[in-house]
Amino acid sequence: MTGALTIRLTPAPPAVEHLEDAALVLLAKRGNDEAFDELVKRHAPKLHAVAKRIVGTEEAYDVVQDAFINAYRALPKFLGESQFTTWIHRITLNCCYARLRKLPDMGHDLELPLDASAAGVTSVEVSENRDLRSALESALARINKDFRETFVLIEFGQLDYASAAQVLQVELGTVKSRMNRARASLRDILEGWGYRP
Amino acid sequence: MNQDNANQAQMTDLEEQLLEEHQDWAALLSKAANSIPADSSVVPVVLHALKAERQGTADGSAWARYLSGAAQLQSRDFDAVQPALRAVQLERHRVRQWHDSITRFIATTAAVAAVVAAVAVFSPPLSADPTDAYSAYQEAARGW
Repeated sequence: MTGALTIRLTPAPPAVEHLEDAALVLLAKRGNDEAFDELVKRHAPKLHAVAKRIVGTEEAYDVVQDAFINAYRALPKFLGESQFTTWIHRITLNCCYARLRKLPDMGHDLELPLDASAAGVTSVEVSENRDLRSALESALARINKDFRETFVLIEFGQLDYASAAQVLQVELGTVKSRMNRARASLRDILEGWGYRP
Repeated sequence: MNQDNANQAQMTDLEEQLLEEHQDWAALLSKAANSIPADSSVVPVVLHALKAERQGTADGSAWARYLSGAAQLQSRDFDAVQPALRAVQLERHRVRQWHDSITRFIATTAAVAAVVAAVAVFSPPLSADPTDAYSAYQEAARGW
């Protein structure tokens, strides 16, 4: 017996930035606020992009804030049956609907349509990304609400079709159909403004 | 037969063309959407709101419970509590009366005792035997 001192080194826990959403949710449910903050950092910009195109730029900040506060309060009840991103998108969408019910005129601050042909812009010029982005924003404000929501969730929220179906609480086929019709509507508008692929 | 085959081939070409166009447009729209940068300015707004939410919950939990409990009290709860409150008030009144009586009795007794003691201390000393006084009186009378 030498009486040598043995020191056991416990490996440091991985930083929250390197953890999956599911692990962060688990930590957050145990009271780790840093884990929940990391979820905010990951998802808030995408949710803001979605909310902005449903309730308008001004209200999108409040909507995302409300969504995360609601999620924080409801976190103990979140059983992980769906992905966190699906759950938080659903909450955000509900917050958008609540805002729209409260103030029906909301959403009118969406950017005004840009008519490329009316502005005397040539097809070469409008092919630039900056213009196309602006035109897409304007065209989105003009299409059917259901089509817009579906398009926004998939393209800006970066959800797959199945997750979008869960968020919208519709069938997968409905999401595919709405997405096709959203693209067709956007295409009609953008073609009218002189845009081509 | 040849006509049917020709029509079918024409339809297939048209479908393929539509599909290609559709895919081109889908790619263009997707590219345009993805080229719009996400706005990260919302993150500090949400984090600030969460901080306030946490502080509010931590500091105000006792008050929150108290207010919640008070808000949940129904009128029937007050009805049930009222007789008990009345009984407590009566009991408290009875005890107070008993306490006052005892205090008064002790004060009176003390006062009487004090008077008796004062009389005993300040009154002139009396002869212990009255017959001695009487014999002194008789002697004096004889002397006259």
